[in-house]
Amino acid sequence: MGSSIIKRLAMAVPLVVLVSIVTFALLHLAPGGPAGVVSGNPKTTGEDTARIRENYGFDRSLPVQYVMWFRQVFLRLDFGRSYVTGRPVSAMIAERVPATLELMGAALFLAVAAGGVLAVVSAFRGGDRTDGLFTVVTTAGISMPVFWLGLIAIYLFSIRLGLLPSGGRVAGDGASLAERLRHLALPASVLSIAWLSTWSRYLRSGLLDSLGGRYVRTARAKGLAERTVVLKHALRGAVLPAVTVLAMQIPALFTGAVITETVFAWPGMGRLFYEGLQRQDYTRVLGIVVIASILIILMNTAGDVLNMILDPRTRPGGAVVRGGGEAR
Amino acid sequence: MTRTAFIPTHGQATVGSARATRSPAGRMIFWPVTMLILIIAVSAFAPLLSPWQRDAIDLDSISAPPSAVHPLGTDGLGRDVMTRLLHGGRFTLMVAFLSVAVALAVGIVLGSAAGWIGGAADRIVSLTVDLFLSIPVFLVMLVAASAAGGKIWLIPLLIGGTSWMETARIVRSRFRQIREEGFVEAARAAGASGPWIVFRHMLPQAAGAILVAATAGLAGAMLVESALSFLGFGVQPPVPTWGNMMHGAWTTLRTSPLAAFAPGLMIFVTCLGFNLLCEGYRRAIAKERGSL
Repeated sequence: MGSSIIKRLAMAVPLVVLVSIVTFALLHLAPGGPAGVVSGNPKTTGEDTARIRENYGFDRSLPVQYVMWFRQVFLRLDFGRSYVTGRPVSAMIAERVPATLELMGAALFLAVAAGGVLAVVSAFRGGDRTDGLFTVVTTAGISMPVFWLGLIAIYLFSIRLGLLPSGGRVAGDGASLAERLRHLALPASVLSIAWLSTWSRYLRSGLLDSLGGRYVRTARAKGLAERTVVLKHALRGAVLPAVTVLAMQIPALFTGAVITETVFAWPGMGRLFYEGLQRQDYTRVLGIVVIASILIILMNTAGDVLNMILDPRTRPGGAVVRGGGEAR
Repeated sequence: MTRTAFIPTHGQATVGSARATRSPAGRMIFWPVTMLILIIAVSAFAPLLSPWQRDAIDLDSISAPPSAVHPLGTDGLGRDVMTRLLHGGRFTLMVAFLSVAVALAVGIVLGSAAGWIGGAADRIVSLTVDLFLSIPVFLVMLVAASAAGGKIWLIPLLIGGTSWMETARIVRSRFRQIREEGFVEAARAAGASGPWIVFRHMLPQAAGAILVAATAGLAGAMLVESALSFLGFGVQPPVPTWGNMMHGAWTTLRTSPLAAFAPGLMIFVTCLGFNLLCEGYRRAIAKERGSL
C-alpha cells in the first residue's frame, strides 16, 4: 500500500513541473508579457524599462527565465513577490488557503450528506417510480451554470428576502460560529450542487446494483432488519465506486471555486487567482497554479488511500477475489 | 462482397420515433429534442426574429425593465436583452459545436492510436489522459484565454483541446475489444490499409458511445465557455454569448435582474436538453444491448 502511494507521489513531481512550464509559457505569450506589466507606468523612461528588465531577468531568454523561476520555487520554496502588491506570493496564498479549504470542505460535506440521503431514499423507498424524477433533478443539477445559480441565490436570499449576506467571509477571534455559517451557507450550497448530483447518481446506481448482489441477498436471508441490510451491507458496496468518482471531480471543484468565490466575494485562492489574472500579476498566477496542482494531487492520493481502506481488493498483495462476483 | 455480413449490428441503437415515445428512454428523448430543435432554430434565424440591431444602444432606456419596445428590458449599456439573447444563442451554440468537433477529432485520433497500435502509443496516450485529468485545467485555460486576448476562434480550440479524454477512452477500449474480431481480420486479409480499417470498419462500432459522449460534451463545452466568458476571459463583447452577457451581472443584479437571469436560464435549459438527450440515448443503447 505504501509503495503505490509513493509511486503516485513520485509521478506528481514531473506533472507539477510540466504544468508550471505550460503556464509559464502561456503567461509570457500574453501581449505585453510580465515585462510590460512591471514597466507599465507611463512615466518610466526607456532607461528605467531597461533597468527593470535587467533586474527581473526579463532580458534573458525564456528557458533561462524559467530555470531561474524553477530554482527559486522548487529549491528555495520561494514564489517570489507579487508584481502588483509587492508582497511575497507565498504569504498571499497562505492567507487564502484556509478560506478555500473551508468552502470546499463545507461543499463536500453538503454534497456527500444531502446526496447520500437523496440516493438512499430514492433507491430504497421509490424504486422505479422515482427513477424519472431523480434523473431529471440530478441532470438539472449538472446542467446549471454555477454563476447563474449563485446570482439567483443572492437575488433571492439576500436581496429579496434579506435572510443571508450576499458575500464575504467572517473569520478570526471575534466571529461567532453562527455568523460564520451564515456567510458560508450560500456559497457552499451553490458550489455543492454539481458535486451532489454526480455523487448521488453514482451512489444510487451502485445501490441498485448491490441490491441485486448475492451478499445483500445473504444478509436478508439471515433475517437482518431491512435497515441494517441497507445501511451496513448494500451501502458499503455502493460507496466504493462513488468515492472514486468523487475523487475524480476534484479538479472540477477548483473550477467551481474560482467562479463561486468571485460571485460571492469569498476571499479564497480562486478569487486571488482571478484578480491576479485580471491585473496580470504573473508570479501570483503561476504560484496559485502550482499550489492548486499540488493540492489536486494530494487530494487524489487521499482518495486512493480511502479507496484502499474501504476495499481490500485494491491493496497490492491484498486478498484478490477477482471475478468472484461478490461485490458485483 | 457483402461487407455488412461481418458487422455485428449491436451497439447501433436505432431510435425509431414510434417505439421511442412509448419507452421511458424514448420519452426522455422526446422533450429535450423538441426543446433543442426550437432553441437551435430560433438562434439560427436570430437576425430575422430580433426586434433590434445586435449592438444597437438605446440611450433613452439604460437598464430598463421589460416594456413593449424592449420585451426583456435592456442591459447596462442600453442594448436590447431579447435581441442579444437571440444572437447570443448563435455564438454560444457555434462555440459549443466547434469545441466538441475539436474534442472528437483529437479523441478519435489519439484513442485509435492507443487502441489500434497499442504498445508505446497506448502508454503515451494513457499517460496524457491521466495528465489532463489531474491538473487544474480550468485555471490553465483561463491563463491561456487571457493570453489569447479574446480571439474567438481560439476558444473552441482551448475547450476541445482539454475535453477530448472521454472520447479517447471510449474509442481505445472499444478498439481493444474488437481488434481481434473476424470482420477486422477479414478486412486485413483483403489487403485493407490500417487507416481504412480504423475509419471504415472499427470506428462505426464505437459510434453509439461516441455520440453519447459528444452530446454530454456539448453541455460541458457550453458550461466551460460560459464560465470563461462570464469571468471576462472568453468570447469578448460586442459579440454576444449567453456567458459574456452575464459578465459583471452581479453589479446590476438589483437594477436589472432579468439581464442577469435570462442568459443563464438559456444556458441551463440548453444544457439540460443536451444532458437529458445524452441520458436517454445512453439508456436506449443499454436497453438494446440488454435485449440482445
